[in-house]
Amino acid sequence: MEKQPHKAIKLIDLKKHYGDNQVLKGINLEIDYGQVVCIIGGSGSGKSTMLRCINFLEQYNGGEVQINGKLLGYGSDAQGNLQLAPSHITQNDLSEVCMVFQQFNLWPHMSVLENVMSPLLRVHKLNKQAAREKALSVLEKVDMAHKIDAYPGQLSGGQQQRVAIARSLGTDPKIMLFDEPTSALDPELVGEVLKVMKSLANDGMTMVIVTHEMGFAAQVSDKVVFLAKGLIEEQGDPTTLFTQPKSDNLKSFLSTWSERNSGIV
Amino acid sequence: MLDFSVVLKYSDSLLNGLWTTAWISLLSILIGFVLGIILCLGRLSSHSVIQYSCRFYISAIRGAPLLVQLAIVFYFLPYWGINIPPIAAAIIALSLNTAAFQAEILRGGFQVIPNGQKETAWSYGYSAWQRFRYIELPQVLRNTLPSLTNETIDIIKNSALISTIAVTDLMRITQTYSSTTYRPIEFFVSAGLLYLLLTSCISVLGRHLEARLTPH
Repeated sequence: MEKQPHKAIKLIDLKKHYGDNQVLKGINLEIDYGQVVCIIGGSGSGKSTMLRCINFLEQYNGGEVQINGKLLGYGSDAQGNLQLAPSHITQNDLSEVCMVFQQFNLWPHMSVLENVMSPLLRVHKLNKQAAREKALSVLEKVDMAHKIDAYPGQLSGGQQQRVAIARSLGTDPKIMLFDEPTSALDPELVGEVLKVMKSLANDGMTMVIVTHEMGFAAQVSDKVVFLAKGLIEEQGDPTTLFTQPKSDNLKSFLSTWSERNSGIV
Repeated sequence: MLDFSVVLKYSDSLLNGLWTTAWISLLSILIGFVLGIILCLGRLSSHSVIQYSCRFYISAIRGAPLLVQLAIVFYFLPYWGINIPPIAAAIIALSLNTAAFQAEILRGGFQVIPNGQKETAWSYGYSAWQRFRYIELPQVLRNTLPSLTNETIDIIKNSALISTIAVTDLMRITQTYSSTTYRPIEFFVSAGLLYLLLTSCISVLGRHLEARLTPH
């Protein structure tokens, strides 16, 4: 991948609270283009909130989120004070960022093909023929081309998630965010989704993945970030982080995880 | 003895009345649907003045008899110097009435759409209008169709009240002939059957549409 002048994502002292509940207490993180970063941590550590701030599904309260060097969600008024930017400007700044959700969020009244085509027709203004070709090619990539006329309700969770990934891919994102993409899946369906994600990682996609799949995180990520209580407690390459955890929180997090899995594997 | 042959003698007039009932009701349903969507969006608006105005309107309409609303439209508009034919008054009153009911039906339809679907649309860059048009409305229509069919049937039946403001609908014609021929039972039974015919058509149509809109 060619050298980009800006970081794909830069978080500077990112803060977010709901009422009195401080969920993110100052996150600093830089992610390069082409990097795969997995975010791990216990529930309530703020990992999903952090991801949702990167996509501005949550308005953050302090610090900065920069996408490709540009401040996200806010702009300066005439006096130089920061103001919430109009929604369509924020959407435009996010045009190369796509989110894959835990609950897939396919639109249930559209077939598989229509789900993938819809953003291409409505937002990217492709003509029908071009949108269809594009949709078919990305559905091929996630191995769902045989189900184009099915409706989301007729698909397994794993198939729905693969369609959701295809829908993202259709819009040619530079950055893909995954919010616990396999957490809502039956165990036997997790593999097919991880396989697709792995092939994206191999293709050089910039990916930020909130996940509980430690094995997957160890295999594909360039960097693993461990969040605890709204702060980054530890980060580094997966081998070091998983084999030589420094903080007590991470040690106990990893041992809980391996205990839970040792009985099965 | 019952003698339905007298009804047949006036069947042309009755069918004319049925036609009047049908088109006035259906036109009112359509106008009411458009107003209902606007009311419903107002009711769901975060702007408190808009939200409470819509709430007030819906409660007021739902809480007062249609007959009263008809009378108000029919008698008050001329009072303000606006002269309109009875048919127009009937359509206005029925539309304003059904708008409130449809707004509540639609509100239920909008509220059951999971937030995640709307977030997804936003994150793909859909404008508020596109999200409404392509993501929400089709699902709302599909999910509320049974209730909207019901409301259409209700309006057809309630439209009998417009006979009180001199619209020659099915009910008005039935009343006229039942008193001139002294055959109320024959005429009212026939009118009942004609209303039933019309409402049955609507419910068949509704079910047909439902089947077409449901993908699986």
